[in-house]
Amino acid sequence: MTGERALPYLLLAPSLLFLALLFLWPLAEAFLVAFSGPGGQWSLVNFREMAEDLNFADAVRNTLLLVAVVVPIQLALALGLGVLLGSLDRGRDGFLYIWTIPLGISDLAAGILWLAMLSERGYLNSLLAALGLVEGPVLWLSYETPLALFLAVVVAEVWRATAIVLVILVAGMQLIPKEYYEAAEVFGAGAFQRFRRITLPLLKPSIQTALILRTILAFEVFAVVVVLGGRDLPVLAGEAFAWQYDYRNAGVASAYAVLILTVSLAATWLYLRLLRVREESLA
Amino acid sequence: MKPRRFLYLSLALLASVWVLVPIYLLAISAFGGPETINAWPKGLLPARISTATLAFFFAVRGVWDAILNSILVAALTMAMSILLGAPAGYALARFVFPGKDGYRLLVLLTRAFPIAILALPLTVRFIEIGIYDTVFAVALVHTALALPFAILVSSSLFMGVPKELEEAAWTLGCSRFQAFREVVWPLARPGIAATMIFAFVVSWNEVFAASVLTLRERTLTAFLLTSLNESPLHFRFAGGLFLIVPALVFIFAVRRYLFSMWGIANR
Amino acid sequence: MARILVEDIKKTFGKFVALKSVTMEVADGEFTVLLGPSGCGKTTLLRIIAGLETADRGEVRIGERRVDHLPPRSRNIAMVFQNYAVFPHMTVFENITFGLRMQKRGSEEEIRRTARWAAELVHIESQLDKYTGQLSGGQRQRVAVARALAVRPQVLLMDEPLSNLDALLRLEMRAELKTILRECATTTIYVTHDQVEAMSLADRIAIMHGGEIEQYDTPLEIYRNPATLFCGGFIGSPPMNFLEAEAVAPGRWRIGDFELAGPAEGARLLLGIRPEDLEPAGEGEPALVGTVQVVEPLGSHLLATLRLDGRLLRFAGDADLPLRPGDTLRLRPRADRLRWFDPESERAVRS
Ligand SMILES: Nc1ncnc2c1ncn2[C@@H]1O[C@H](COP(=O)(O)OP(=O)(O)OP(=O)(O)O)[C@@H](O)[C@H]1O
Ligand SMILES: [Mg+2]
Repeated sequence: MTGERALPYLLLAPSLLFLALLFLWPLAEAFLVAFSGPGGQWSLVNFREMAEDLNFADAVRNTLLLVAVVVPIQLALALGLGVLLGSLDRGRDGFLYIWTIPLGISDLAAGILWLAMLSERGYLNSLLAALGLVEGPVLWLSYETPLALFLAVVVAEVWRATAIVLVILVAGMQLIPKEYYEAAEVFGAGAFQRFRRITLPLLKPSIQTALILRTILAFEVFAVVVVLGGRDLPVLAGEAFAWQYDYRNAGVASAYAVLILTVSLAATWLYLRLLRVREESLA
Repeated sequence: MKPRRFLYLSLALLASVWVLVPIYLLAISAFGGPETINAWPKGLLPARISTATLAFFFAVRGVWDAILNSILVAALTMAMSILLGAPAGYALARFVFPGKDGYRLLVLLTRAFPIAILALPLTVRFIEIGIYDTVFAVALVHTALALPFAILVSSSLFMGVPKELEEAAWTLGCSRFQAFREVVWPLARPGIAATMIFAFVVSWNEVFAASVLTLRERTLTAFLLTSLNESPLHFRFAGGLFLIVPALVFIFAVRRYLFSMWGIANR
Repeated sequence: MARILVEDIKKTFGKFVALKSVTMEVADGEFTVLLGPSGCGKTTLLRIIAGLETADRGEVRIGERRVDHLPPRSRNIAMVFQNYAVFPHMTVFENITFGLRMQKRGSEEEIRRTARWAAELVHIESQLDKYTGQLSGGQRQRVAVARALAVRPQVLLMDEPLSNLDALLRLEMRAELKTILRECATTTIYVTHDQVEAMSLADRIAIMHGGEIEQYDTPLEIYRNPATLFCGGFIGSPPMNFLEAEAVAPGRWRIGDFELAGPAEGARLLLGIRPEDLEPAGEGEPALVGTVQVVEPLGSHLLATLRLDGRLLRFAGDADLPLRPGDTLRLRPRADRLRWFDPESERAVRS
């Protein structure tokens, strides 16, 4: 029908306006605030203040470490579960539903949930006591036991956010035709061979997506850490929050935000480079 | 073959236990009354079933307001993201036009932005225009989070409705709008409902922006987060459980769409 | 009620030219069949007439109105889609009455009556309360036809509406469609792959090939006097035979050793002759002589494939002819059925 050339633009306009107002504009503003000094002039003073802060080095290190530990575990776990799902004869839907339950659970709730496990009089200590490994309640989540605190966050994050990786990978696995596996089996490929030669290469786009999404979200890790450790385990998003909310210093908070964005984009770029998916191999 | 099958089943059960047991233990922490919280060592069964903890939780000043705010924000987010997202999804699904790829790219890009970079500058602006610390302001930011998702998913939903059905309606006397109302909408409705529920959950669960953008009009997540230091353990457990339950119900309701949604939305 | 005029329509998809330049006029109440191989542009032409696709140039008139810029709903048409496009979320009854309800035509009672009438025409009156998802492909196709008939359009566009029915039902519905549409005097354009269907239904057939209409004429005329090599080869089963002929003198032509009269002009032409227009020749008569390769007894007649100077020739003869592979057969074309074609332009040459 003619005379309707404008229609798609009319339909897009509201969302475009919204995205511009709530994404592009704040984005620009965050940069502006982060890079301006007290008098509004162009300056790196916020970044200097950020870098000189006591928590800064720890926050950077902890965040990077968390990403480096959590994301690979999640990927491996999700791959394993995805393959396992394919090998089950019955009950797939049921298992899949159970495994994806954490998808609906917020990071705050997940933090609280693991607090119940790991607090002084929590279930982990009860278990350890039952096994005779500890005598009485042990304090795990404190600044005196940074390693335990770090591991607690890792466990909580793995528990909570493996589901999203799993869903993305399973969605990708469903697109791989069964015939490929049958053909490989006819040619004598074992289970591991089939996984390495068929599943992995064909799943590459999904793996890439899952890694990018998970990494970006992992750089923002916030509520889980706050619930389990307060600021005893500083992370980037937590520092941004503290500077904004407790210190009322929008400049440094924005500097943190810009930093998070920068590392997120860098990681995305890295994944795109390292896991390059050739278009023609997808045919 | 037999032992291998047994192995697979055991592994699958193990994974399920890993997911479910913490939720169960949180539930008995919340339902076990103060005795369970302080018990040492704890057993796998609650000392007794009691609603004392929950009653305490709901009796705390501000909890009901926070719950109400959470529901309001989530409902607003749901409505706004679908009202803005569905038309865009329809345009992406049905039209070929210059700028389409650019728009798509923009939508995909927005997913790479950390929430911090949105929430912090908006705080300043919202104070300026006088909507800081309102339910609406939080809903705006949550919509920004849910909208890209709503756009991509609804576009794939509309693509799933064959174009010929709409064309058939046109030849039978429908205007574009009528054809949409009579044919496309009824067919896409279940998926749209799932998308809306997803938007609801995104908002219900969001912590950072809600905490930064409110002072008195707390959502439940913001309320819990900012009172962490003052609140006793059993209060936090009850709050955590109360956060989890609606989300679980919703995810169950949309489970059929989970995979097609994520499969498409992440391409 | 309305004639259809299509003039100089061109349509491209990107670089691909789907319709080159299509011009045709369908008279008021006429039944025109679009016939052509897959991908030749039949559906595209239909969609342009319906207003679902915009042509690059050219114009479409329905009645006296120019409709190029009107949306489908204002064109007074109904269409049966190639893949049915039956609404899955409605019952058969709701599907059939959809057009009437949308156009708010008639009372509830009248709409009900019309629906029943249309459903009976296509034999689905017993399924009215079912959802279309529960129907077979053939039943859905019939719902699509009923839905289009129910609005009693001025112009009915049908894209292979019977393709999914079994042979018997197809035959029956074909006959009924023809009667109804004649009674209602609905101007109809009907797309099909099936040449028997085309011949039996059409007032006129438009043969399409590569985005063009090669011939637009009555079925018999197309069968007897194909305008192009393609038309001769496409219509008729088995198709027309084409034999290379050389001029020996003005008006005299030779195929192998066989001489016959033909057009006065030209040096090389193709002789087109239908298999049933060949007759066994008597001893001593000049004839095309070939060796029988395959014999297919079809009951009503007999089909033989002959090899003749390295070319194949099909011959349809009396079912009782005692033919065996390896036999030598002498054939004579009926003089009044000779058709000549220019091998360069692929068009027919008047003799
Ligand atoms: N939307 C489109 N985009 C690109 N090419 C198209 C489009 N629609 C049709 N075509 C091309 O135009 C040509 C004609 O298509 P059309 O559907 O009209 O053929 P048809 O004659 O109806 O074939 P069939 O008998 O198989 O239905 C085909 O080669 C097809 O690939
Ligand atoms: Mg077609």
